[in-house]
Amino acid sequence: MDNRQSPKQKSHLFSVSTRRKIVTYIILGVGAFISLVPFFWMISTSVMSLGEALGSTFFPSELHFENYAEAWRRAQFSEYFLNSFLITIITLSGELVFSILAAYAFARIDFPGRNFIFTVMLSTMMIPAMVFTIPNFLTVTWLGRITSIPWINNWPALTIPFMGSIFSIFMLRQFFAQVPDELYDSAQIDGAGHLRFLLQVVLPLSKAPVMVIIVLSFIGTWNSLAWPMLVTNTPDWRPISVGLMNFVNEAGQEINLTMAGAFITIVPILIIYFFTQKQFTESIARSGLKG
Amino acid sequence: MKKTSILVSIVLVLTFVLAACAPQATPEPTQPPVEETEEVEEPAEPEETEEVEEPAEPEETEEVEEAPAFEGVTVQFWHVYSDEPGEGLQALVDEFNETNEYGIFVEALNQGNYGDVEDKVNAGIQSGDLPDVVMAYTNALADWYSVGSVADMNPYINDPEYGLTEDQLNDLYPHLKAAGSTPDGAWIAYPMTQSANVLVYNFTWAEELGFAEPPATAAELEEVICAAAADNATKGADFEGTGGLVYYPSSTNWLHFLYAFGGDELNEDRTAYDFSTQEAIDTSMYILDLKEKGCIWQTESYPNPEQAQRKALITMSSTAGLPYYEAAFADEGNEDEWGFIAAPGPDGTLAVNAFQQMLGVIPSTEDVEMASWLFVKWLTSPEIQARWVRISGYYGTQVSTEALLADYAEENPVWATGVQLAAIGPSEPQTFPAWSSVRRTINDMAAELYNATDQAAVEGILATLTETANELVEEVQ
Repeated sequence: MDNRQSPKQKSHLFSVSTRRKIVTYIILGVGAFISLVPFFWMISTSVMSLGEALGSTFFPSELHFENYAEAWRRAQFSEYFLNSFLITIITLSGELVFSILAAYAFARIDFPGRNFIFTVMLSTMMIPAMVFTIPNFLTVTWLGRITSIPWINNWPALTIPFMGSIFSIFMLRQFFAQVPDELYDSAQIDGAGHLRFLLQVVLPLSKAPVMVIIVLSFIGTWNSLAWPMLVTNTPDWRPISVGLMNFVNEAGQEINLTMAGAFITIVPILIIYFFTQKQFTESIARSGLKG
Repeated sequence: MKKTSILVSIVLVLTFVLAACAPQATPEPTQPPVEETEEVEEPAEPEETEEVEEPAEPEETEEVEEAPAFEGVTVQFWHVYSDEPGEGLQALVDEFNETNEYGIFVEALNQGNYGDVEDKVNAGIQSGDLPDVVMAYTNALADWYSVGSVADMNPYINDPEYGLTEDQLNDLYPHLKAAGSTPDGAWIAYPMTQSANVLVYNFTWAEELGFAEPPATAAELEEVICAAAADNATKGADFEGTGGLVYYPSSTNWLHFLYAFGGDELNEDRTAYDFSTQEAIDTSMYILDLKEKGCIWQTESYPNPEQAQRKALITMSSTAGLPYYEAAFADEGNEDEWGFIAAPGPDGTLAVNAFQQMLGVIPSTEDVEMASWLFVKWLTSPEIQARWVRISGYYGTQVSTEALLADYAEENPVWATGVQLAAIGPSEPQTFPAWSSVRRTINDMAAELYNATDQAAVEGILATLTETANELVEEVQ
């Protein structure tokens, strides 16, 4: 018996679906590689000497792990890490509370002008964020003058303007609107009002979008730089991204230390991403959401 | 029930609207109003009468001597230094606070980089939250001056008691008063230190190529960089196309050569931009010629490693980039002697493109403005400036400062090569109207000039540049 296969036979070794999978994996692999190159470059540059980092080499000839200690010290990360953590927690908490309540109202409570107000709010998403900078600054300055708590150079200016996120409200509203009315009717029969229905029925079904909001809000707040620089005058409340600026001057930047600092700053983001990714997937599976 | 809810909503909205329309609270002053405090502390009228009656002049004199002239005045100072320079600057400010005879207290606050400071001041102009002294580039100070947010320092600089003496004024490098003054004579930017766009030159390699002295004319510059390019052409594929001058067509570099060629940005009567001059044409044609001969080239990133690898005899950089060059040479193990030189013109004119780290005073009360000036004066005095130069690595702005840095120059030979260069300037006309926008246009045009095919094309580009620049002036006036 001849076990040899002709080239024609070989070409049929893989079924059409397998071949499609192979092509898909190759494309995804290339995409993943392209996405990861900057990340690898950051890690590689973070352990280079300055002279080497200024050049175009990808791999360090010698590993300078001491860059991490120097970056931590010079960027004052001990202080800024705590600031960033507090700012993020306060912003995130506020954003979740206000977004969930607003989204629920837009999704499930019929009040006059609901659609109009929602449309107006959505339309503000079309305006570039930079346009809001000065008006927001004037607002927080004014609020700082009329209230007993100072806003500038303090947590209110850094957190409160970001507690009302139109994107989060929009996203949650779309999700809340999908919750069947029958569930509300049942809850009402059991004596539940809107708040109880929201907390005990809607939110447990909405872990997926809530996790998405947590991740996006966390990343946005953690990485923010321009606004914190504008509303703070001292390091007391400045976030971690400001520390990275210590490696930049008018003639260039200490790119090896910048990358070491950048890696340090993204560690919390990576941690929260990996944690919420699991939650995210589980929530989707539990809520039976499908495309 | 529904109506009641609507009514409550309307009342709430009206409350917010009315609250928003209420007169804006007066901005908190950055410093306590000194005069008012003194008034409150003053005794009642009968005592004043007694003072008039008594020939008690000595007592009055004692009172004046006891209270420093600006007791209780706080000056908020926004700067751009963090890390070690930031700590060094804070130490100087602390020293001022402890030792100044006027009772002034300075609060120094790092506000990020120059861009961040500009953003904050722009926002502060709207809200009223501004510092008293700000560090910025001259063009930003000029923009703020045009909207009344930067003070003219002339009255303070010329004040008989607190101003500068004739000798102190003459001690400043000549180009600096003009660099900080508007066309109408207002002195809005006082130089704290200087840096400059220079040519970074490898002396050792040039000597090996047969050039014992740095180029003194444009022709000599061409000769030496073309020799370096020819030298590298023999070194193999890795060195192909390298060796000469690394030139990026930017406004900074093009203006640097324009100054060496005897030109500048303004017309003869200094009333408008003019880039259609013979000097501008000659500068552009010179660069084009070097490009055609293969004597200038470009690197993908900062050219420091290439210079350290002897792939570039000359690069163009800010003197503030010195640490990066040192790192690159150290990393390559290259012990060549290198340093800063000026760009030479056809007739031997030497020029750099000098930049100043400027200080501006924000309009406030007369006392606060004077206190702000006194701090600026102290910070830029030769002794303090020399100490700041040792911390920051920048260059001084006065002849006297140089003398105090002889030992520092000896310890830092590369830095020393730039001392004289920062002094010669010139600087860009940053106080001339619309300079920021014009500079951006020059940046775009520099790339076009670098790719021009012939002189006619160069002249066309320069004519367009002149026209655009003056249109930009019209827009802001």
